[in-house]
Amino acid sequence: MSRNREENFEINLLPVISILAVCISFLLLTAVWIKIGSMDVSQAVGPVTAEQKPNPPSLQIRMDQGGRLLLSIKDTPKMNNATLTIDRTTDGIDWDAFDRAVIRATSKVPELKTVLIFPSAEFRYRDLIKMMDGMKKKGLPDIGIAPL
Amino acid sequence: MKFSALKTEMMNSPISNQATVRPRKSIFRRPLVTTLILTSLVDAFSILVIYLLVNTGAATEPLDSKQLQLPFASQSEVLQAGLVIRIENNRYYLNDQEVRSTILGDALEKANSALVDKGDERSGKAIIVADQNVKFEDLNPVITACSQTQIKKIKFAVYPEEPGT
Repeated sequence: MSRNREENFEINLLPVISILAVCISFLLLTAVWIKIGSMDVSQAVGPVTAEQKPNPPSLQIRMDQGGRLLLSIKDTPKMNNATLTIDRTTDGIDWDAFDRAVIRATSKVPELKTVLIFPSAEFRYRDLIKMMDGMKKKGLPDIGIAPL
Repeated sequence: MKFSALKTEMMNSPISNQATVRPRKSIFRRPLVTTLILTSLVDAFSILVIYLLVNTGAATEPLDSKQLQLPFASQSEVLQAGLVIRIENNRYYLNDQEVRSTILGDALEKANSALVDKGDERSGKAIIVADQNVKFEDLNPVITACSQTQIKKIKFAVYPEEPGT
């Protein structure tokens, strides 16, 4: 072994830094910063099983031609088929009245977890999302949407 | 150049100075120029690159459409991968390919069964991307197609909204 050979040496880090700087610039320029979330819905599909279990209590929301909301609670002896109508205001859906109705339903039937929405053809997507958002806020996680 | 003036200002490496085998440090040569320790800079750059790679992945690429204004929801969840169905100007796009509404069910079934065969995690999940002003009659073909093709999980793409805003 040569006596003049260097035992200690340093790695030249400048090219590494250059590459990393180029990588960071590229990633910053191509990054998508808009966050997108999702509102999840579980749809019931397929045939009904042979074992017939009693349906859990559910809140059904329908829309009539006049844009009114019809709320009814099914499959519970406490408020079976009781229907509440929420009239439309000039701004659209009366969300305050809707919230009050849902709170009243959940307080009367605490085991209520399922919501089934029957939208009309004219129902706006943003209202559907707002409705589902409000349901989830009030502790009703199982939401289904019925097709037309 | 044995007694060069420059030699007195030569850069002494801090690693060489601290070496135990053959230290370069001399009593007569004091380092006048110090080196920058670049290791920490490389570490910071590496962390930045990894962070950007993880957080700016291509998962939301098919959802990105400047013409669509997604609705807002405060109870939104983290968007997971799935078959992306976009509704734009009354046209339906399945994974960025235009599909007529009449054959949407067939196209969705074909795409879903291909994912099931591959064991892909996106199978059985559909992500609906639509403008907030779309009417339900335009959403209906997608929901009907999902029901026909055994897709149980439907995810509506929304912008997350802070609670209380």
